[in-house]
Amino acid sequence: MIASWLLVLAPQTALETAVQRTNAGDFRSAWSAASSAVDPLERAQAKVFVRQHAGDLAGALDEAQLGTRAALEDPWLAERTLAIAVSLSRAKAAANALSQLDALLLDPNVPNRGAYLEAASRVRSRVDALSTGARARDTAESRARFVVLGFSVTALCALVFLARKA
Amino acid sequence: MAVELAAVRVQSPWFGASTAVWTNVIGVVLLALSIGYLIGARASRSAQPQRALGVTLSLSAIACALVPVASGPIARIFLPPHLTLEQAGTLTGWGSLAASVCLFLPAATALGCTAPLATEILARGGRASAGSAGGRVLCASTLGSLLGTFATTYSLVPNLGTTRTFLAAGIVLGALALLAFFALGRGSARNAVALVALILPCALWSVAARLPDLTEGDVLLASRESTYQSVRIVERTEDGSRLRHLQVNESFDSFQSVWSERPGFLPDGHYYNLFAFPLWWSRDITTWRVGVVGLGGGTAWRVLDGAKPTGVELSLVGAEIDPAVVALAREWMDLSDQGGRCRVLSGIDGRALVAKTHAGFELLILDAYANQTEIPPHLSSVEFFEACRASLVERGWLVANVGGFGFDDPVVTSVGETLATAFGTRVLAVLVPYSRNVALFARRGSEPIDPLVVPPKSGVAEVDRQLAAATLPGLSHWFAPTSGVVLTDDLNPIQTRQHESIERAARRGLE
Repeated sequence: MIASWLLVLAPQTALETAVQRTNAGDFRSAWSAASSAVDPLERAQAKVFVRQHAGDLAGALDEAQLGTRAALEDPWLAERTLAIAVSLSRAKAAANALSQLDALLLDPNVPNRGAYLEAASRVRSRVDALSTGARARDTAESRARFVVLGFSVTALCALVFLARKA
Repeated sequence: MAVELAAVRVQSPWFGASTAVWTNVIGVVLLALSIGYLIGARASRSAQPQRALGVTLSLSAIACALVPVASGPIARIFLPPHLTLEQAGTLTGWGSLAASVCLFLPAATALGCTAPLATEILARGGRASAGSAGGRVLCASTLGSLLGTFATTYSLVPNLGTTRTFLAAGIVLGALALLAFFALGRGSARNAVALVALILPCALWSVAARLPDLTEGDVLLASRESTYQSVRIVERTEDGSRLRHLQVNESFDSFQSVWSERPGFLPDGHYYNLFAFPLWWSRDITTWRVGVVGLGGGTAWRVLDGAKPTGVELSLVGAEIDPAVVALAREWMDLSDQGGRCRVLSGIDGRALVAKTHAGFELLILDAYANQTEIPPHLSSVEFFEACRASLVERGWLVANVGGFGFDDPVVTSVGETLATAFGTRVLAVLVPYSRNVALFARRGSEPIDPLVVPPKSGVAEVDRQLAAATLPGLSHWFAPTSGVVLTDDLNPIQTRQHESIERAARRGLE
């Protein structure tokens, strides 16, 4: 009873305020709340949450990557980075985020570890498909450049040879 | 020319029909022709140029007949399936060039051989001097090209389809080869070659060229070859509701129109939803005359009609340049005249609609794209935007959909600054949530509202949710009139900007 009173009376964190205002559709003040967070991890989490829920996926991914680059080893941030990168079809970002999440989940004491493991396994095949697609795309471009180069050289030689003989 | 024009159509389901694809096809065909001319010149010195002519005609017939069959497998070599537009990036350029080499080089080279051979045959016959024979052959060849150009665009492709256009060209060439051999007299081997050249296209008549795979979950409802493009309607079910997409020349993840069972806002990620914002931002206007440049399947109309405030009256006139798009939309996307409230101008260019209207629209929507992803230069120039401004009533709204990856995107910046310059006021750009589009808002004689100011609640939860996203800092941007370079009718590098945009997005995707 006392604990719940304390929870009610405790000042709301910036993250909680940002989440609350985002859910109310007041993105501007949600962003202000997120930006005002003192703790860098909380600030990164709040900014990612607000941007993602407003539909700015590229902006959310930028914020998430900024957070992870700042060595914020947080499974929530890694999982969000992974989900957003997958939805944007960013192969490399998704693969990096999955590796990071896997590394973080090696620790058996991570809170909500089961949920994160499930989230990671849900998108693992999609991340693999994105990486495979990226590799296939690069291979296809190399192949195309090779064919075009080969054709150009052959055509030039043929033109020179035939022009002399014709 | 028939082969050249149809060549772009064969490639368009895979690589689109952008200027880059046109350039690649024309470049390969011209180079192949020049090689063919020299081979033909060399072959014309043989004792029997007629035989060489028959052989080259036969080879060109066979090569033409094989193009549609080979197009899918060859495109697959250079374009892996299910890439997004930004993932493909420069691959559309290199891939289409390589595919053009593989597909069209044999036919165009063989066709190039025929002109010098025909000239030699005429000259040797003693009926003409070399100059006279050359002139006659060039005249006949150019007239043939002329016929091929018009017949391909206006008759063959729309009526027969791309595959059968190639096969028809093969049949004609095979028949000419047979004639050339008959003129030589006996020679069973030669006749057999010509017969193969004639029979092969006939045998392939019922074979359909392989098209790009549909996205998983999509069902093909209808497809059509129009004068402008390949058009198809696909349907998918998302969260229990059916969505239909009208796609043109598609092998990527884009679409031109969307239909949902219920008119009104579409699911998140559809830029059409932002077309309805002015109706809620300017609640003092109760009767809206709406013009749509690039009506497509009528999505803008369905969204506005279902998402308008209570008591608001709408009438719409929309221009769609491709009649096949309108026909498919009438059949599959519920496009109708809505008891006279919706007037569809089929086969009309958007610029003509705007030019004919003076102070007539409360809202003008620009959603015109050509060749899959390109904004046509004549619909993105300062002169066009000035005409748009003139077509609006005082304080009337213009909303333009621009495909781009953020406010620093070269296309978004160019179009935004050009639009602001034409209107003489700042233009508001809003990032479309969950998409790669930006909506530009301009007003005649006034500025759009400040999106960062949270709008008063409308009483409709979905409307409030849609409008709220624009209040997040970073999701909107202002473009001001510039005294610098803008896009004009005379100098409009919008297509270069589009290539830059896709390349930048592809680079970002690799990060």
